[in-house]
Amino acid sequence: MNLQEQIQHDFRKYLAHENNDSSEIFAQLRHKAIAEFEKTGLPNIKNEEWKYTNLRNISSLSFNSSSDISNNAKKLLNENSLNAIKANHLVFINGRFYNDLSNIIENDKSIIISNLETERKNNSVHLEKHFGKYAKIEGEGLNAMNTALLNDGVFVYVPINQKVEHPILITNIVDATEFNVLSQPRNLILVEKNSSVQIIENYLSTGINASFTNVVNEIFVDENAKVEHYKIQQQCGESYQNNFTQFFQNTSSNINQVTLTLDGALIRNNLHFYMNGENCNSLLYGFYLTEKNNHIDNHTRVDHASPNCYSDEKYKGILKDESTAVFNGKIIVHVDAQKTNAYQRNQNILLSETATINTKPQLEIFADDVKCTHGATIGRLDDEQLFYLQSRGISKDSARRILLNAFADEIAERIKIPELVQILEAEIEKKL
Amino acid sequence: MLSIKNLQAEIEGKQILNGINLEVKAGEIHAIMGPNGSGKSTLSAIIAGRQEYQVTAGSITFNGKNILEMSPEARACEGVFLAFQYPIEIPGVSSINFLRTAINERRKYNGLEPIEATDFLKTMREKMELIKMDKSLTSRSLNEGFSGGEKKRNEIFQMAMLEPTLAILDETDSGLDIDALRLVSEGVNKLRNKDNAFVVITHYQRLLDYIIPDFVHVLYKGRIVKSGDKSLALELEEKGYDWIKNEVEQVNN
Amino acid sequence: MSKETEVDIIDQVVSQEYKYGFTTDIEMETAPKGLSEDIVRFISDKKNEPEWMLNWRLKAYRHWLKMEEPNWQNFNYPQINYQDIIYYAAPKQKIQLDSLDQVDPELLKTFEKLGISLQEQKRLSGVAVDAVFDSVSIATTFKDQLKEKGIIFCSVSEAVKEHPELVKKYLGSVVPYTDNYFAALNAAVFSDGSFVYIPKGVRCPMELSTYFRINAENTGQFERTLIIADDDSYVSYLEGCTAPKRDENQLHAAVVELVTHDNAEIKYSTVQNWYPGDKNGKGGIFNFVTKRGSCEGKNSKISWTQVETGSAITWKYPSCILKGENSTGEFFSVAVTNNAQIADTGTKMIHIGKNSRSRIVSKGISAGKSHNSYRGLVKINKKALNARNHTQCDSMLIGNKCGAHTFPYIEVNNKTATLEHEASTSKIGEDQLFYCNQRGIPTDVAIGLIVNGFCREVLNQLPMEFAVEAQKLLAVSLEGSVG
Repeated sequence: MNLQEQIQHDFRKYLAHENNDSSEIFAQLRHKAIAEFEKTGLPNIKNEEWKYTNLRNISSLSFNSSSDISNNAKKLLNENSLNAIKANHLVFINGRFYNDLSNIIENDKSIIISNLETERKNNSVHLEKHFGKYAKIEGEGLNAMNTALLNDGVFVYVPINQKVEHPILITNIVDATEFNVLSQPRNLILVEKNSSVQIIENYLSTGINASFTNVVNEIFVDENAKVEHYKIQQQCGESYQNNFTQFFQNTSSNINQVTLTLDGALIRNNLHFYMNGENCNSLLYGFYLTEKNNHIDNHTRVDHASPNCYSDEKYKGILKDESTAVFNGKIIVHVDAQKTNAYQRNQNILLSETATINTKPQLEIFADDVKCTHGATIGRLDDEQLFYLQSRGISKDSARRILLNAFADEIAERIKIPELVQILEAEIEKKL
Repeated sequence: MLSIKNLQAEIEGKQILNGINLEVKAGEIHAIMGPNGSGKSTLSAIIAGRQEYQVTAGSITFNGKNILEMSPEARACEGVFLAFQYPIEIPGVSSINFLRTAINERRKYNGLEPIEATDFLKTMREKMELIKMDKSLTSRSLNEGFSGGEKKRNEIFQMAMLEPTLAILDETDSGLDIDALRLVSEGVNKLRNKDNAFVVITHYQRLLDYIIPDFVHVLYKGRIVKSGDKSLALELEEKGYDWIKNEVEQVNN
Repeated sequence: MSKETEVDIIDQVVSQEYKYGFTTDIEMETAPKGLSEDIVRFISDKKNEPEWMLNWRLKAYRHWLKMEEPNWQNFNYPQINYQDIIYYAAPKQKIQLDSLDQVDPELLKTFEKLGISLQEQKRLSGVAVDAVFDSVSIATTFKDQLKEKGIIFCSVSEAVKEHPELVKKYLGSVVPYTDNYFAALNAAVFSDGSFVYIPKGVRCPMELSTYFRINAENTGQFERTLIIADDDSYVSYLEGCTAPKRDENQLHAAVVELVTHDNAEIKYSTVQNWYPGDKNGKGGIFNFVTKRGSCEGKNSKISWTQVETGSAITWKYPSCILKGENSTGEFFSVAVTNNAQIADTGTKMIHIGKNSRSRIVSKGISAGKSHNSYRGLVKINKKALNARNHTQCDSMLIGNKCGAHTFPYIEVNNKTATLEHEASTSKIGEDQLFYCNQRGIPTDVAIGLIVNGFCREVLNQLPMEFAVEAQKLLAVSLEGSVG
């Protein structure tokens, strides 16, 4: 059974139980999603947005949705370097929430830091109002697939005028010790007026089998609210990930988003911002380090749908071995989104003869009073800089490492949690 | 030549000028001084025809014509020149091309044929000599990458080329070192004659050491609150703008 | 400037009429409408072509039948009915290519009206012209002087007969008929175009130029240009185009192939001013062209310069395949769209040779309701050690109903590559306009001035005589666009 068939099969299995679960508020959405999935299917390279990323390997696999977890997963969790951060910690393994492994320190009545399943059982008004409203499924086969079989994920609700003091750390582990694993986290984060929150998504994996993590994040940021969102991807081995994150921003909201991709056989990030009100600020920064024959694809899209908004994007990559990186940045300035300021840069350093970078920084502009610049560079380490360091007595090898670390740290330092920056800079140094 | 009567103007609903009266005759130099925000630059912008400002009352006539009804380019062709406080950069357009276009538009307005290339170049050389302009500036893109001083001198050079009847210098002295200030002033003095007039807008007295005004007006809160000869500028330098402010406030109280 | 005055000015300054929109009344010989093997044979027969040429056309035609029209572009166009086009139209007379005296005076007048004089005494100094009227070449000037240096400059039809060995060797070598839908169509039905061969060690002493004119109704123009610069040679070539105003869209699907050998250089400039259609987008030329050059030899260079102001839709990507070591590819482009025009243009730079380098400067100006896209590919292959590219693409928007889009594809398979891409979008500043106004320059003249400044880097690449023309053209095509 290939993936497409498996999804259809799993959906039939769900249908068999559907009637027993009449409280299912997602039912309608699931039906719509499966229809869309059957129509659209998994993306292929004929789709312009997937020109450089081929899912052939994934679509031919079959997966188990086993609920058993091995000791490997627990070990991985215990050794996780991010444990050092004082945070509201939510743990998901193979897409399921583990309450006993989680530790939520700020659980006052008004702020909700929980999982989707719990929230669903509470007949949440928030879900009715927001769920499935931002991440579109039309033409997005993988989002449809996530929606049709959605299981669990994070639910965060920050009411007006509240600040979540400590970061929310979401650890997502795939444990492929026994079988190929398909995990489909579905996260919903709602930040109301004047509130703020820091979110860390951390992706880990263990086991020799293949895994496919297909994430959908919907993040609603109301007027004047502030969200810091950090995504750390370090799944190893034969792990594949598609990560779709949609931010929906109302007036004067602020977002600082950083994506660090340090490992993964194939990763496709789809990071979307929709500026629904004026004066929004969105910062999006990314760093990817690719090695072996890894394939890392960052697709970003910023919809400047309102006037007077600002976006600044910078993605940097270091490519080793036979790896491939893809960057596709799209800025769309809608009609009437006057006084838009949008900046985008992509910089790459190739360390190997056999690495490949495909980059496409695009602009689509439908308003005239805008300032937009975009750019891309591809190159190697600057010989002048290397020589300068060497002339000060530093060995060529150390000089290289210093320069590469400096290149990467510029992005890591966009993270506003100092402990996290430290941990990540150490990880990057190890890798380099 | 220039007659401003009870000029009142606002921008985005905010009143800036509260009834300006000013008479400028041929051969005269008028200095307009005043603290920041008093309406000096607004006045020059309105004379030149910037559209953002709404004139709510009063009139401006220039050589007997009501110029408030005219487009900015028509006013320029009539002989009004504004030396910008912040000259604008136009990438890829050389000064020389810009000036030739401007001169020919003016000639067209006056029913004349376009200027002969040789005549144009000859005039340009003369005027460059007159105000000691560096030749290389004319072939570079207009104001692009010019230093502050170069931009201001380029304004004076354009003024020399266009030979206006009325030149308004909007804070031409700001950002200039003493040498550049002297060069700019010398340029103005050389261009001065009995048929033209200058309105020099400045915050500081020092420019007026070089360009000697016949009249000095002090602008405060959108009104000319004091007029005198060049000694007023010196008095102002000595006593500071607070002197004027206090005086005005006292009258108001 | 306030919104009201913007609108006023747009209303006031009515777009200048397309001044090349006249038609020439001349008796034509045309093929029947539609496309079939018989039509391909008809064209080949009209041109007295040898068997091998006909066979090549037929192969292309059969291949075309199997292809589908592409649909990846960033715009839509009305379906083209390929059976509704006339594929061959020529002035009815026996043309003696070598003698101007025998050219119909009506035709000479037409070209004179277009500013292209074919009479010896009035020719532009230092420019040799090949004039193409609908499907055929009318006259080629300065042939004899060029011949003395061994330079071949003639129509493609003539080259097929006179220089079959060269045509056989190079025709389709850069753009094979299998390349794309329109290239296949062109290969099947191409009627005429220019052929240039510069022998080893020769620097062509004058600009070579082809002037294309569509006149007949319901016809398509499918010309084919082939330029070969042998070792250590140089040539600068320019093409210009116009068409009458007609309500229906006419298809222009040309193919241009350039080949440079060791140390050779071709500079290819285009000033494209096909009829753009009226204000509402009715009529105009579909300019779907394949242009590609191959830098075969070491140190060879191909430089494309284009000023695109006309056509209802322009869809083309003049490209360079940089095979030779140290070879250089350049692309300088100005694309102006106004009213309902569409331009989807850019370039491909394929780096194969060591130390190959490329430079791209693209300036797009959109006004009215038009859409202007830059689409480009820079590909650095594994073997292209130390390849370099620099790309700059700037857009300017005039008014808020138009769009400016950039789709740069960058594919790098080599760590020694250095590549930079910069792009920006801006509008004409109100401050800039006011500054010009204050110096006595009216707004529409100021726009022309500012736009020409914006494009200066590209215009500087054009041969002197044409740079002036191009500047005027830019100002004219933007008239009525002020905002």
